[in-house]
Amino acid sequence: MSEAMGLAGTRAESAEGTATEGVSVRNLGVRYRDRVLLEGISTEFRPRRVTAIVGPTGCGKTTLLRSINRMHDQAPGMRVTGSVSIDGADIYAPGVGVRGLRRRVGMLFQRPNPFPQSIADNISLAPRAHGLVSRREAAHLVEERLTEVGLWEAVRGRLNASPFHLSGGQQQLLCLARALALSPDVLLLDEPTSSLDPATTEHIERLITQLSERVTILIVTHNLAQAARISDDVLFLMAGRVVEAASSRTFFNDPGDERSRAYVSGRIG
Amino acid sequence: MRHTRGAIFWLLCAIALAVIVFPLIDIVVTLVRVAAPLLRPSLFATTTQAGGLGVENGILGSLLVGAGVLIVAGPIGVLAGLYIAEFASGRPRALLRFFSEVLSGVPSIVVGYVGYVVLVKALGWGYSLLAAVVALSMLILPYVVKNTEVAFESVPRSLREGAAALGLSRLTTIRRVLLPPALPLIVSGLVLAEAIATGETAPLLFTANWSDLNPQLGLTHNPFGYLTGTVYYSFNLPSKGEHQLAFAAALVTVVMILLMVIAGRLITMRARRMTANLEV
Ligand SMILES: Nc1ncnc2c1ncn2[C@@H]1O[C@H](COP(=O)(O)OP(=O)(O)O)[C@@H](O)[C@H]1O
Ligand SMILES: [Mg+2]
Repeated sequence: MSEAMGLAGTRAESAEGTATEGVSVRNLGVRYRDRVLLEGISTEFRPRRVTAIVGPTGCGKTTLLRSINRMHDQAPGMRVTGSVSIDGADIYAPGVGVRGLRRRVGMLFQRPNPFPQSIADNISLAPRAHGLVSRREAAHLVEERLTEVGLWEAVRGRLNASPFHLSGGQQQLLCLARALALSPDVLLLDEPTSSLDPATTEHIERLITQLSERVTILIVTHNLAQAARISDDVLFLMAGRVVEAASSRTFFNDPGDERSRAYVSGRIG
Repeated sequence: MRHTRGAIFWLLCAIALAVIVFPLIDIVVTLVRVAAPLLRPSLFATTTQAGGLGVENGILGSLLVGAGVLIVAGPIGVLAGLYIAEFASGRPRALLRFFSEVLSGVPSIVVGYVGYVVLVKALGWGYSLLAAVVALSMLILPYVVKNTEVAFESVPRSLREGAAALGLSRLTTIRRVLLPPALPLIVSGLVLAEAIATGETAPLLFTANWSDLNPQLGLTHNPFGYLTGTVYYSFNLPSKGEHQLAFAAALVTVVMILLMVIAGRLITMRARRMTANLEV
């Protein structure tokens, strides 16, 4: 299984971005009360590349992802140490506005979570709230983003209807369009296709590849074949620590760590 | 075996439904039957002055009290519930919850008596709309608070996270993301409060006293009539007409409460349209 997957289209590496671009994690630690969830995480997520974050259930993938848009801030008992920089600026530095940060760092969750507003409002709500577009421009933005995720034809006749009548896959696409409406620099995807059918999964994978031309993408996935298909780099975690960070090609064909080898071949995980 | 159990289950459901529905039908039928001779338009244009057989002063008083309670207890209760659910934490939250629960346990006649001692006498408002509204507001505030609190707390976490991940402000999150799914429960708390305010008698006996005239201008020192008072005072009078008036006033009270429930449904319809199929 590992060979087949390793050879199946991992994308070729290409030129690096400048040193300060992308997401840089330095000695990140996350604790919940006295339990260590993540420790000593240091890694770089290259700009406009897709990095797959993989590892066994409970190893801290979601926790890492949520450190990058400061979603742990409100959670009582959660403590984050170390630093995360986006394009060279520490997002945990004093004075950094968390709302401005989240405008630039979009997130997609495991289960689609459209707002109880019309389909159009789902998309225009955040850009309007951030003052990025006028009411008139919002209508245009709605069409543009829905078209981008391939949902426009399906919903153009019911933009003012509830999103909860859409299929699960369509709801997830709507959530992606909603995140894209803020033109984020970074997208955090937490197993975005784990509850979806194969056709929608393939569709979203294609979108991820397209988006990586302009957005830095971090995707948590349980599906190694998916990681191999869409990622440029892989970050492999176990028990809250980095085991290996490598290009996908290296990770799937010639991993540097024995545990990576075991994980890729399905012996652990 | 499974089949019998299923049958027993449905039988129990039918009995439960019957226990709710039949008394209600019975009440309405009885009210209509006894009140029948008085059920004509003039019922609503006649006060109880000089033995008049009408509910005009009762309805006007009840509507005024209902509106007053909505104005006073509505915003305070909803804001307090919102505060408990979304802003307070630790001791303030525990304290507010505690007070609200204690308040909800105080019998209405005690609220009425305290209202008499404090509002009517000590503050010198006399029997009045103001005293009645404040006393009834105390009585129903806990329902509004609790319903609002539960309404916001039962919004799925995934919606809050989605809003947070888009950098929405707390106010925008509350208004656009949390309120639509919370609204039906908040409104049903308000409707319940209004129904109680319309149906209560004891607090009003102590704070509004009674008047056969239509309510007069002036928030203080103006006793006034109310529907449950019409029922209460007319029921035991020997005349047949008065007896019928008690039933007519009771019928009007039930219909008013029914209209409130319908209004509540209409208000929440748009919100429900957008939240249908929302998995909680
Ligand atoms: N809010 C939280 N409170 C307490 N423990 C948490 C919380 N979130 C995650 N954890 C714990 O942190 C560990 C890592 O969780 P998570 O990052 O969700 O793992 P993964 O996404 O890799 O499956 C788990 O053991 C989980 O129980
Ligand atoms: Mg996870």
